[in-house]
Order: sequence, then C-alpha cells, then structure tokens
Amino acid sequence: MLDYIHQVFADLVANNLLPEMFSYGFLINALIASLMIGPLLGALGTLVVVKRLAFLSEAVGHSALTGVSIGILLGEPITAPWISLFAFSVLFALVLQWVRGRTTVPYDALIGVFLSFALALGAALLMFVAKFVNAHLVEQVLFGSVLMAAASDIQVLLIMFVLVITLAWRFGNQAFLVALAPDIAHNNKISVKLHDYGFVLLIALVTVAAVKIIGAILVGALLLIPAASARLITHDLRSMVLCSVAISTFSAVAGVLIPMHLQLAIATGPAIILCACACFVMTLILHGARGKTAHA
Amino acid sequence: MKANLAAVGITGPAIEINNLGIQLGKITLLSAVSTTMSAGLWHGIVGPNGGGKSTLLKSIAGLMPHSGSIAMLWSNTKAPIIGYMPQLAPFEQSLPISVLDYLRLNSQNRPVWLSFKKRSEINDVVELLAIKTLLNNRVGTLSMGERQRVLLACALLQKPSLLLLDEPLAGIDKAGQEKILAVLTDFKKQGGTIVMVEHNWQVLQQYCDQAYFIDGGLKKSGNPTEVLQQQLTEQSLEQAQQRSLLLANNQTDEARTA
Repeated sequence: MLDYIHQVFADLVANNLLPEMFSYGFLINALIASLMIGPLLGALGTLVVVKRLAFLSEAVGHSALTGVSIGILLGEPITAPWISLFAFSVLFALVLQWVRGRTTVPYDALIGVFLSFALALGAALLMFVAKFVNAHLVEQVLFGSVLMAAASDIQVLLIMFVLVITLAWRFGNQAFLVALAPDIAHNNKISVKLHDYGFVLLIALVTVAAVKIIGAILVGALLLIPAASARLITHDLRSMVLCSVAISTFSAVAGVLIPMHLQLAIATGPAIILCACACFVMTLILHGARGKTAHA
Repeated sequence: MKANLAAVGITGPAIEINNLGIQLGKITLLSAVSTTMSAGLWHGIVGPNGGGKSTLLKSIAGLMPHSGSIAMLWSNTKAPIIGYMPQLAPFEQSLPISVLDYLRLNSQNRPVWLSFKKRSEINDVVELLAIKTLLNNRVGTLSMGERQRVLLACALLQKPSLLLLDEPLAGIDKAGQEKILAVLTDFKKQGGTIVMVEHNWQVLQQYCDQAYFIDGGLKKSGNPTEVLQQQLTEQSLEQAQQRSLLLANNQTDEARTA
C-alpha cells in the first residue's frame, strides 16, 4: 500500500504536477504520518484542555525520552524501541493515575513531580546511551525527524488512529461529560475512574506513537496549542473539536513540508510546533479583534 | 409491594435507609440515619448549612462511600433510572461548551461534534423548562437561575423515575421557581419519586409530602408542617433557655457588683 502511494507521488512528480521533493519516500511517509498525527492530537487535545491537563501531556511526552533510552540499553533497535517506549510511557501514565487516587497532593503538583522524575531519569540515561549511539539519533528522539518515519511507524500510527476514532465515536460524549460534571456522569452510570485511566492511557499511547515525528520534548505541545487556539475562537464543542483538528493537521503537514521546501535545517518537531504557535497568535489576534468589536 | 405500586401507576422507587453513616477522615458528617422514603412521593430534606443534607442526597445517588445501607425498591414498570441534579456545577466561562452541547452530552452516544440536529427529547425538555433561548449560550456565562434550569433539564433527559435534586430553586426568581415546581409536580403526578434538598419551608409545606430535618443525623421526619412546628418549638425553647441563662448570669454579676 505504502509502495503504491510512493509510486503515485513519483508519477505526479514525473508529470510536473508536484515539486521534486515529493519523490522522496521518507517525505511521503512523514506526510502520511502527519496526516494521522494532526487529527489524533488535535481531537484529544480538546479533552486535555477541558480537563485542564496540559501539564500531563508534557509529562507523558518527557517519559517517552526515558522509554527510548531504556529500549536502547536493553538492545532494542535504535530507530524503533517500541516495546520499551510503549511499556514505560503506559506504566508512567498508569502509576501517575494510581498515585493520584491515593494521595491528597494536588494533581498538577503530582504531575510536576512525575515530569521531573521522567526528565531527570531520561536525561541521565540518554547521556549514558549517547556513548554507544550516534548523538544525532539522540537529537532525533528529542526533537523528531522527517527521516525517521518508517513503514512500521505508520502502521503504529494507523492502529492508534483507528483506535482513537472508534473510542471517540463510542465514548467521546461520555469522556467530555466526565470532564465537565463527574457527579452527573457517575449518576448516568458512566465509570469516572475507568474514563480517567483510559484518558491517561490514551494520552500515553498517542504521545508515544507521535514521538518519532514531533520528538519527546515537543509532542505535548501539539496536544495543547491547537486546542487552546480553537478554544479562543469557537463557541461550541463541535466547532472547537473541528477547529482544533484543522489547526493541528495544518501544523503537522506544514511543519513537514515547509522546512523541506525551503531547504531549512530545522527538525520536524520544532517546525510543527512553530506552525501551531503561529496559528495560536493568529487566533489570539482574532479573539482580541472580536472582543474589541463586541465592546464597540 | 412492587405489583401494588405498578398497579397504582407509581414508577418511582421507595428508598430504605438503614443506619447510614458517613465519615470524612476523622469528621463525622452523618450518623445513624434510618428512615424509609415512600415511593411516588415528594420528599424534602431540610436543615442548617453543613448539616449533611447534600451529603445524604449524594449518598442516595451512590456518590459517597458510606456505612449502613441504602436500598431502592423499584416497581417493575420502568427501568431504574435516577436523575441527579448537583448543587454546584462549576462551569468555566471561557470554555466553548454551549447549553445544547451540555444537553447532548447528557442524552446521546453519537459524538456531539457530529450532531447537526436536535433530538426530539431535547426539544421537549427545552420547551418544558423554557430554556430555548439559552441553547447557543456558553454554559459558563449563564446566571445561577439559568444554570439550575439547565442542570434540571440534564436530569430530566435521563427519563428518570427518581429525581434527586440539590437545592433546585437556589438563585431562581419567583417565576422561574414556579416553572420548576410545576414541572416537578407533573413528574410526581406521573408516579415519580422526588428527593429534594430545600431551605424554603414555604415550598416544603406547599409541595413536599414528607420532610426530613438533617443536622449531623436525622433529627425529625414526617409531615413538613409538623416538622416545622417541632423545629420552631425546639428553637423557641432553646431561645428561652438562652434568655433565662443570660438573665441569671446578669443577676449574678449585679449581685457581685452590689
């Protein structure tokens, strides 16, 4: 399937319908990945914003750093340490949620502690790992790379994409009700605890699936910025979700294509997040202008 | 008992509370509450602030861990569904969640972001509570009274047989109160059971069949007027005792000064 898509793009380039850069297989892979990452993170991000858990996505993203280091140390392939990556991030998210239910420490403070731990452990292990692998690979883990999107990454992303779409279709409304009014949700026979665990688990899985394109440091930002931008300019939940998905997808695609087109030596992660930030600034201006119009 | 209830059109449950106790850390919120709330009646929970009224309601709704037991005796005619209206639902003003979104989240499985038509049951409840003009407003921008009506709409959308309402009339003007009370009266006429926390004795006397005075435990229960009378008598006795104590203290002080 992937070969067929590559061939279609190659034909389009050969017929001068697309620029030369689309003949590179790695770019097409990155483009397909970004077309899945965008909607995934954009849609989940709205729930992150409603739950006010932006900090959680950052913490889970940073835990991926540790997962990669552990994977390399345990002998997993350097470019695809999936088992350690998924295992550590999922464990990190579940332990965080478990501790939350058993302590009176405020959730944001608890996430801060876990984030610091994950970052410190990841940094310590990464320094150790850097002795054995090319330092450039470490940089790719931190900030993502357009070169890293292999067929296996696209398969993982596709599985996550289908999983999230299915869950969103069946349980999306329940998830928002749990976030907005847990008492009412509980009364409506919705398991608040299961939803809370499911949410952190999903954040962990999606973050890990996207980490090779956006990077461990910045993946949390794409969960936050599009939804925060959409929140500024929309008036209901539907437009917020759709707007967040649109901004996130646009940022992901633009972040892959613009540096390639302009031949800029910028990693994919920072490029995607800078595009998302540009969208945020625009929505901020639009929001301000609307405010002034409303007051005039 | 179940067959009899169904025969007279009562769909709401009776609630049997046996030796209910609720502890939060070392603080006892409620202790030794035992009572039976009959099916198809309107029950009012009353008492001072911090007395445990909302705690009792939450425990009936299954939202509070407790000792003792709470049993719901449902008739067979309808699925056992409870509509719960919390006292406070914190809505953030800047979140783009409209009233229609909120009602949809409560009443359908189809994702809100893929819904383009209002469902008929939402239309019915919206008409009933006169909140049609609020549908596109953000829930965070609603007044207290408007929020109460939206929360009641959410409870009614469940098509319940039992309504658990925590101060549903708080912050609502006279006309709004009458609207809500009329809706609840209809609900009771259709056989539903209502348990409502309420401070206003006038409302309790006029609408409720039973009143329960809660202050750390169940102090009195029965006909609202009788409960009020007992409460007033106790209060006047307490006041008289306090007055006589104060008088006695003053006389002692005067005697010492002399």
